[in-house]
Amino acid sequence: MGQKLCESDYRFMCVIWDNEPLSSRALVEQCAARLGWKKSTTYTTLKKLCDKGYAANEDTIVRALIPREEVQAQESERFVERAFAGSLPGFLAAFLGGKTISEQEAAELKRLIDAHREG
Amino acid sequence: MEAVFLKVLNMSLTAGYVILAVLLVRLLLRRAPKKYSYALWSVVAFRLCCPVSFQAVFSLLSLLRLDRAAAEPAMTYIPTDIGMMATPRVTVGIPAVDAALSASLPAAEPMTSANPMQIWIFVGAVLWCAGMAAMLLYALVSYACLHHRLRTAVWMEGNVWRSDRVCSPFILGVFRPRIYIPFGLSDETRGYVLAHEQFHLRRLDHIVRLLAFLLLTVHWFNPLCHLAFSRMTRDMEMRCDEQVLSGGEDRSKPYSLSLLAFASNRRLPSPGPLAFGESGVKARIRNILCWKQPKRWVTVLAAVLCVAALAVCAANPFVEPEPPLKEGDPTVNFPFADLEPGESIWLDGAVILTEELSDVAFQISYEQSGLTVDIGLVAEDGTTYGTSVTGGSANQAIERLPAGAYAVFLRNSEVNLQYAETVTEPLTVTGAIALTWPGMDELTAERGVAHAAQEFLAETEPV
Repeated sequence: MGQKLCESDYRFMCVIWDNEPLSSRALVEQCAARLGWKKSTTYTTLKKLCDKGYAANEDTIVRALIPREEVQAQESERFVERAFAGSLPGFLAAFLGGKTISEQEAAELKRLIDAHREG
Repeated sequence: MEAVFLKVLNMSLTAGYVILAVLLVRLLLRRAPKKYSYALWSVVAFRLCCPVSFQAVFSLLSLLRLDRAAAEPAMTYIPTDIGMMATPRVTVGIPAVDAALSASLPAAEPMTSANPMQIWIFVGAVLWCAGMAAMLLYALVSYACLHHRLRTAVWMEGNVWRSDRVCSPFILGVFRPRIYIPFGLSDETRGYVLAHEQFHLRRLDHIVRLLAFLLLTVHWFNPLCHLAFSRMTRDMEMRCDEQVLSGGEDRSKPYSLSLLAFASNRRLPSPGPLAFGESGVKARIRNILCWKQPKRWVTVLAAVLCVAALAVCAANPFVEPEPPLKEGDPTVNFPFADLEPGESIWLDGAVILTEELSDVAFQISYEQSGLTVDIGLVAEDGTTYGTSVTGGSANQAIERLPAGAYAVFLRNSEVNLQYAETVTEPLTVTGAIALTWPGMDELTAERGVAHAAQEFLAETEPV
């Protein structure tokens, strides 16, 4: 774990997250339908992600070992680090741009900030 | 294999001239819609794969100085029997080059089992096949690698797939072609890119490019073909670019920016010859930014120029048909018998021309069709005008004869000696030759009168 998921791996993990736990046969069917993948491609990628510790394949039952939220958190952290030199306010300012947010969204953000405030 | 090789060489030479002409016309069509430049390449393809063509006076190849025999029905700069010729000769149509090339060719060596020329042609043919195999192998390997790299591409919609292992959009496949684009394109860019690629597919460009590559494989030794392939590809792209641009309000700026994005993103190797994606980005962007809806008169002019260029390049030079032999044409008949190999004879009588003649037709027939016979006219100053005949009979002409008296000689070619084991018929030749000047009444063909010329020449043994 720790290596970045590439786009196609991420799409593959999405299939697992949406359906887990699922049999590997069901995974092959899902990947064929949603990604247009061949059986062999699905198995190769599954093996790779099991080795990396993202998913597990026990008795042909596939499940994710890392929740979607964690991967999303990693991705966004990496993105903020690269594009905004790690500055969260910088990221928020750019994200909001000229937009306004509703009372409700503001309250939710405030709650989040309070919950993560140090000390 | 050697025969096919020589055919390909001849086609490649014609195509070389045509490619130069097309490059020239493309310069004139620079400001015109690119579909006209693109259409010009069809005649190059025609020349690269079809050895024969129709004849017309307006042919581009009329500019070349070629023998009568070189132009029909297929352009033949290098005779297909060059391996058997006593003195091999090529005519590419530029006199100085012809002389230099022909001089560099090795002459036949009567006592060896194979002519040096035959050996050279064999070596050439083997190299040619090896080159084709290398080109095909390269294409197949790069196709396989690309195919492997794209197995994790994710289906998006219809025939469009996305992959994070490609850096720019391209099409792969022949029967069920797929469009591959990178992840993370903005909606606007993706719209342009897909419009461009779908237009390629509608015009079957992926198949055209594959066929063009196969032609390039066959003509791999011709650098002009490589140039033509890259220019053709660029014209193909620019034609699609213009199609996208003409689809709506001013799109030139955002469209060229989206092209630029791919050009600056060169982490991954570009797709091989069997896939095709963006090429010549700099020239394309310049073309896009200069593009405006073409004016009517520009389009008409470009179309006319294009059609004219296609016709000029497709035609073979017009060859006047042999003047038919008529009753009353001055004709001299010379029978001959039992000529040994290497032996030459002076024919009884002479030819006297009172003015320069472009053609003296001759008809020769002899019984031993496997053998070669040299015939020649020798002027009083010793200049020889001659040619070789194989196959037992011929109806040919000797060209550009100045006025004067000529003695006629005939020789059982020395080349025949080397086939002594393979030819079953006797090596001596027996037959007759007739020389004719169609329609020229004032010319005289006098038997006996020219014995003076013959005596004069008797000292100089014909070459």
